Amino acid sequence: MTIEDVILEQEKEAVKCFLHQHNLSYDEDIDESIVLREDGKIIGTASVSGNILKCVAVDSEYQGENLLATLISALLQRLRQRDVHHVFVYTIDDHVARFKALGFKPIVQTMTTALLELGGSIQEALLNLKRSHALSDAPKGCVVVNANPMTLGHVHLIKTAAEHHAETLVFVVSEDRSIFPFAARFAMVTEACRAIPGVTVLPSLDYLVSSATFPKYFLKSESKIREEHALIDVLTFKTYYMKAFNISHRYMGEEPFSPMTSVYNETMKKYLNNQCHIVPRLKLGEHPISASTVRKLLRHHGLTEAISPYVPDATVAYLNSPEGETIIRRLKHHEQRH
Amino acid sequence: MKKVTVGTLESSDCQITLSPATHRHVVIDSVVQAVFGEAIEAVIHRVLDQAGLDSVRVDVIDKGALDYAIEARLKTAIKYYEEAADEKELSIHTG
Repeated sequence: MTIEDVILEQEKEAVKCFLHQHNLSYDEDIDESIVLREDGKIIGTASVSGNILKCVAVDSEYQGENLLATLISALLQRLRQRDVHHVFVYTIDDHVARFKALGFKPIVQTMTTALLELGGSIQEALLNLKRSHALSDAPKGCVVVNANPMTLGHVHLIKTAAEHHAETLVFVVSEDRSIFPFAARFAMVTEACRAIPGVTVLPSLDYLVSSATFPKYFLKSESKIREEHALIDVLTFKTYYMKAFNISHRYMGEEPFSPMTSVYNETMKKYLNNQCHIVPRLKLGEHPISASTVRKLLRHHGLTEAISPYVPDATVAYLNSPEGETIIRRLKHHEQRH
Repeated sequence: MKKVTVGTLESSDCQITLSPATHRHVVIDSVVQAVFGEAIEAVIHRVLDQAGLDSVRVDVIDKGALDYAIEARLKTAIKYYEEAADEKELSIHTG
């Protein structure tokens, strides 16, 4: 039995075919794949995207030989070279026990999907975050933003939360998949929140991910993927974040247009009940302010006066920096990126 | 300082991760925890004592490794860990 890296296009095709036989698909955002072969024949495969293990399958004939341990160990060894020691896996309910046997710890589980981690602990990570910011145990309001980039809509949402709570936490999504990098988004939010009393800005850590990262390989339809992503995220937020930081209410922007976010808002509403407030969007004339509108303006017109009614000074200042200029150039070139 | 991980999750092996900490902190997750948990911890502490390593966190995922296998894995981890520390120091000195 040998472990091999998947490099050539034809090898990738063979992996796709193998996954297909196991009723799984190959996600497009994979960084690295490996296969386990016996006499040239693929008997198992595993892949990774960032720190998320995905597209894991073992030939049913060989199940019981613990080939999963061989595959996962080989993949972890490759990740160490990139200094990744903390990994996640989303998998179907039936495979939870196998990952647990390897030392993975379950975070949350739905009817169909489970999220597990190895090399880190969500409780410890959140506790460390709480300690390092010397946060109190008092009840708090909470807002989670990607802020790609920060708009006056975000400011409005955060202010609404801060009006109702002595202390408000603003989590900025740590995952670096947006056109504005995390460091820039975090800096814009921190700067824009400076004048709002009782607000602490924190990184969301690896546990709240966007639907772009959410693995799709074992889910069949777009709508199912959206539902499962929302559910995992809501359960993680409710089970760990609300508890660790004593969050009493979460504030979310209304999403009349995007089906993605409206599923998310509905799920949040269902599980948090009256602990969740959907705040109507701040409007400019008839149009709700959104980060996508700002990106669109930047893409078509660059940095002009036209964006100032949409964004706080912190965002303008960032867009004026050399880094900001690079992003505007990239926006103009990458029409499709979000 | 960076983390170092060695070993595998395969049967009869163990995976050990060393990371910087303010004091020595050993976390063991073993399939034979109930019977050998304390024995494994004793091996870890003995090897750490020999290496004079105190401000470190050790995470062990044990799949039923024998004590000399655990010892060997830990010694390897310590070697890499100290090499990583030396490299970092070197890069500070050389700017």
